[in-house]
This record gives sequence, C-alpha cells and structure tokens, in this order.
Amino acid sequence: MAIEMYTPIIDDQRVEAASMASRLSTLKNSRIGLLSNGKHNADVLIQMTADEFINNHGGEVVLELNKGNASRPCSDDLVDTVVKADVDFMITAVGD
Amino acid sequence: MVTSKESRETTIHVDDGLSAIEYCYEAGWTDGLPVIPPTMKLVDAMLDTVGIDPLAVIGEHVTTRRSCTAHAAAVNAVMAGCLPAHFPIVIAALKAMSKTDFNYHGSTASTGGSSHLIVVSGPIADEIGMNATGNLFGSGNRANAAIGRTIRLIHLNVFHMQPNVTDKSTQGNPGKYSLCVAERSDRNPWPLLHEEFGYPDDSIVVVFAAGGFHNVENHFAATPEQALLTMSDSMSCLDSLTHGQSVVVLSPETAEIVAADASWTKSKVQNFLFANAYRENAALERIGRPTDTEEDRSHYKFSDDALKEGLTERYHRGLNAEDILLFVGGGDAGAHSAFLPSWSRGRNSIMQSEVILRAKKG
Repeated sequence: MAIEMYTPIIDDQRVEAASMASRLSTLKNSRIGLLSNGKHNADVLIQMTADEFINNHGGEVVLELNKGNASRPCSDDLVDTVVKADVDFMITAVGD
Repeated sequence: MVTSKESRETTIHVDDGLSAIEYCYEAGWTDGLPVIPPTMKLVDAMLDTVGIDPLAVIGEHVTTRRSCTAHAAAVNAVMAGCLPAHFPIVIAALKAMSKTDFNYHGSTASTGGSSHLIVVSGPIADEIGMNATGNLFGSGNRANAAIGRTIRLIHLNVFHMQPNVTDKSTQGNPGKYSLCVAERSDRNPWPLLHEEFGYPDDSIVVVFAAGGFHNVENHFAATPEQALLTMSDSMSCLDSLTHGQSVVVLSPETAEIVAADASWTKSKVQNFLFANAYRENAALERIGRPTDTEEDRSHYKFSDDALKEGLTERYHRGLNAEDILLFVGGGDAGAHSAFLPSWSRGRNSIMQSEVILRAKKG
C-alpha cells in the first residue's frame, strides 16, 4: 500500500554561510589578535603561533581574548569585541 | 492553529512500509536502526495528545541556529516508536535540554561523548507503563526506549548533530541510542524527585548530559556507611573526577540498607556522598591532573565546616551535596546501583528539569 509520510528534518532552516574576510596583501608588521577557546594549552598554542608570525614578519600582539569555556557558545559581547577589534588578523585555536 | 499537514511542505510518497523504512535509511534519517514511517495519521495523533501548535518551537540548539517545532518532534517521535501517550515527556525533555545552562551544544558536539539521560518522576511513569524496575538501563520497555530514542533522532535530524561531522565524540556512548528511565516510586524510602523539585501533583523530567555508566556493586555492605562508601569510591575514580554534577541511582536493596536507620534522609545521603567522593591531590598529580586552585576551593559548600579541614589537599566530585541527583531504581534483587558522571571535565552542563504537560483527554 502506498504511503505518504513526513520528513523528520526542517527544510527551511538552512543557515547562510558567513562570508570570508578579505585576504591580507601582506603579513608584514601586522597587528595580531589572539582568541583562546579556553581549553588547556589553547593559549600556549596561539601564543607560539603568534611568535612565529612576529619572528618571520614582525608585528605585535595587540589584543588577547579568552572565550573561557570551550563547550559553551561564545557570548554576544565577545563576538562584538572580535568583530570590532582593531587588528589585521586574529589567531584562534582549540587546545587540549 | 495550523494543522500538521499545513505546517509542513515536504511529504514523501513511497510504495509501501518497507520502502519507507529503506527510504529513511537512504536519506540518513535513522540512528542505524529501522524507524517507523512517520505517516500523517500517526504524526497527527501524536500532536493531538498535547494540543500544541505544530509550528510552536519547543526546542532550540543555539549554536547550529536550528529549532525544533512540535511537528518535527512528533515526526521523530513516531519514527522512534513512541505512542501518543509518550509524547508529553518528549516535549518536556526537549524544553529542559534547551535551557541555556544545559549547554546543548557542548553535550551534543564534544569529544566527551555524552548521552542525554532523561529521568521521569511522578504518576505518568506508571500511567504509560514505563520501567523503573529490573533492567532499568537495559532494553525491553517501549516507553523508556522510544522516548530516549526520540531525543536522539531529533539531535540527528533536526539539529543536524551528525556523528563524525558535527558530533565529534571520540568513542561515543551506548546511551546515545536511548537513555530514559523512570524513578521507582515503591520501595523508595525518600521523597520522589517530583516532590523534591516542588511538584507534588505533577510529573517531571530531569535531564542530564551523562558520561559513562558505572555499575556499583557491594553485596557485602550491611550498613549505610558501607553501602555509601562503595558508591563514593566509584564517584572518586580519576577517569571522570570533576566538579561537574552527577547522578546516583541506588538499587531498592541498597536504599533499604541505607534507610533502615531513619536518620539517613536523602539530604544526609547526598552530604555523605559528597563528603567522601574525593581524591587526595597526590593521586591527581600522579596522573598529571591539575588540582584545585584557591578560586576552585572558594566554590565548595559543605554541610559542616569541619569538613573543610585539609581541603587544600584534596579534590571533590562536584561542589556541593546538591550536585548529586539521587533516586531509586532497578529490580528488587541485587545490590547493583549506578553512578553516572557528568560528560564534561568541568561544570559545562547543568542538569535541568521541566514539568510534563498532562495529555489532552481524548
């Protein structure tokens, strides 16, 4: 016997992909922001990564942020801070 | 209110029931087991039980920005094998899990691999034939199995928390298929959870993002202290020792031993477990685990200030006695209790509760 059934998904919830930031033309003397996700060693990893950029291209770390809790969604305030940050690029990482 | 048919644009036409099951497999809409085809008649019956607008949002997964309508929940409940009488519990569980402090995202996405425990307390458990006795965490009861499975199917189908795509559990957890139990109301010496939570006339769900299940057994324990020290020893295991919350399910036999002395109230049991569920810092250091900071220690709450003595040298499970959800469940025979730790290594998910709506009278 023919069956008509519903689908278990909700079709109209497709989330638009965020657009990519414009690419940098140079890494020289960049103003760097750091965003740790709060996991053990994430801050260590991003600092070491920043050091690599600075050693090779100059620049400085001008902003250090920490999400505080890796598994919880980012707070709106922190997202706003990242969006408005006066940096050339940010480095973020998952530690452990 | 729109009808369920009007609330959905997409329906599928297939030749027969078996084709419908295979269609769901092909579409990736199952947990690996066959599902019941969600026909309009079955879905409408589910929705009729609760009388909620099919388009009403009853669950939200903030990080994926996806919400679950009553209709979508009903479709997944049919697929999981629920009867309409089970659906009010699904609604309550989904509402509870959508509360911010439950941290729906972390508990569905993390390598920690949590399973979402649903505990049902109150008269609805008996009314719909839930199992609170033997094989409590095992298979065999439709309501227990199908309600828990519905939540899992919603995670997969509505919130798109797909294994190895968005759900990055390292090893997963068998409870991910289904993890729903009822509290035992007989052979239970203490106030039931729905009474303890302030709803003496209603049924409630308590939801908890749980780590792995520990069977806690000591058939030689003859006193409350012996029985509870067995439990606190399991709660002190280094593999999951965190300041997160936890669940303790005492078997009726063990609860009887503990409550034979009426001074052992539920609160006293929780305080005893909290006071004894700890490890010395040296044990943590031996395996490379960080010990408490001064800030960590400032959050502990003990029933007796004397218990703070030597606190700088040890690390407790949870932060206070109330962090331990305690109830009775399981078969009449056997000193087999259960301990379920938090999935998280911290306090990233806090258990939540919700009153279960009464089903509409047919």
